[in-house]
Amino acid sequence: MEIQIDIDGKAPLFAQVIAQIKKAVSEGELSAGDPLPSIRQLASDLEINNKTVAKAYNLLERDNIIQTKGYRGTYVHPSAIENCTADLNAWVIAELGKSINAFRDADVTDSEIRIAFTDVMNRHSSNGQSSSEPNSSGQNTA
Amino acid sequence: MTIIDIIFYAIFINQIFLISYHYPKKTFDRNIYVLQKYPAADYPKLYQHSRYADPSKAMLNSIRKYMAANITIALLGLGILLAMAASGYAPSGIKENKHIMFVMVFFMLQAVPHLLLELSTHKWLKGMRGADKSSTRKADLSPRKLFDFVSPFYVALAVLAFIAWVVYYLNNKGFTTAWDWQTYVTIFGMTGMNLVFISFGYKYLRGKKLDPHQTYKDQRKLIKTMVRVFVFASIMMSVQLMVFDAINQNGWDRFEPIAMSIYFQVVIIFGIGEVLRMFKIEDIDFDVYKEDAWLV
Repeated sequence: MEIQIDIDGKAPLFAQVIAQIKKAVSEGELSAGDPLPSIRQLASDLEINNKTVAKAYNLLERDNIIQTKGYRGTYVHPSAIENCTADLNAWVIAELGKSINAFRDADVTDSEIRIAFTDVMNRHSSNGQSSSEPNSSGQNTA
Repeated sequence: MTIIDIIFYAIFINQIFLISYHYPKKTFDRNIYVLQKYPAADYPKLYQHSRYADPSKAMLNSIRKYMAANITIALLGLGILLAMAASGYAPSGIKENKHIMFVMVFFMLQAVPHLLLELSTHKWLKGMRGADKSSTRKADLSPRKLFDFVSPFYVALAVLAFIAWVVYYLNNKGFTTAWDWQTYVTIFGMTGMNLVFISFGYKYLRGKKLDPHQTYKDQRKLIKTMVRVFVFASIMMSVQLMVFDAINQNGWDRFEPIAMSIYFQVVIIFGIGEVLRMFKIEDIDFDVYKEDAWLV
């Protein structure tokens, strides 16, 4: 299993390392208890600073994706797959943030965004069914 | 001429054959195989187009010079051997161990083309790393630990052999005797050599890939080969010193040139020989050197 980062990419290097390891866990390429390379080895292989990998490992450990067992090394956490879903929340927040910024750039007010969001959420019920009938509250009442 | 002299001549001929013909020929054939099967046009990342107008020709010239140097040394060795036989040189008459200098000096001469080839390979790999302008970096998510590559038995054997040699050497010197400069040089020299082996092994194990395009499978195979070579070199060095101490202690100086030649041959068999055996050219993935390898 190998990871790949782009040193000229927009995302910070530590974030790329985190994303790659989480992806490997989510896709089942890394299982609970699998050993991971040491900070020094991974930093050396990726030709990046040890501190960058250490930061990525610290954040992954904080999120219970990996665990460090002293001198024995670093392993994938037993609950890593469950904890990886937290990544989806972060992704949702990030995506919503982008959309909100786009709406603001288009001079849509926050109230309008909130109403529209609630409307869309109501129309797309949590069981996956969507209603085709528009909600009158979707009109601009703010 | 005694049986010891005949054994010496036979073993020395073998040293000439092994170090200056057999392994150089294998190395030469490997390089020719690569040049023919993986040409510069199809595998550009394997060659240094920035340094040479015709990198294939430059590589061919280098490897031909390497083979020519080895053959010259082999012929020189045979010539010396004939001169020795003609002059009545007989190791069985040796009373002082300075006579083994001949075997040592000739081995050093034999080692020169191999060292030059090793240096040029490192230079070539450095050029390859310099030419790799890709912003994408890859890493294997498997840890590389020493015992994944070499059995703990051999590592323990290397440590025990070193301790055994120190104890044996100091026992011969006399534990209560004050150390003279020769003792310091020998003990610290041996320790230093082992530290060099450890640092080289560590560099392969934890350091960055020498070849930026190499697959992780090939990298692991290379690490396994090199770590084993260093562990075996450490074991052999300790054993060799114990053998030579025993020879000196027992006044078997006449066997020293034979023992020295055997030692050098064993070093080569477990050094270059091990690399050629374990790191077979047919098993290396050369597709990584294609221009569009990144897209595969």
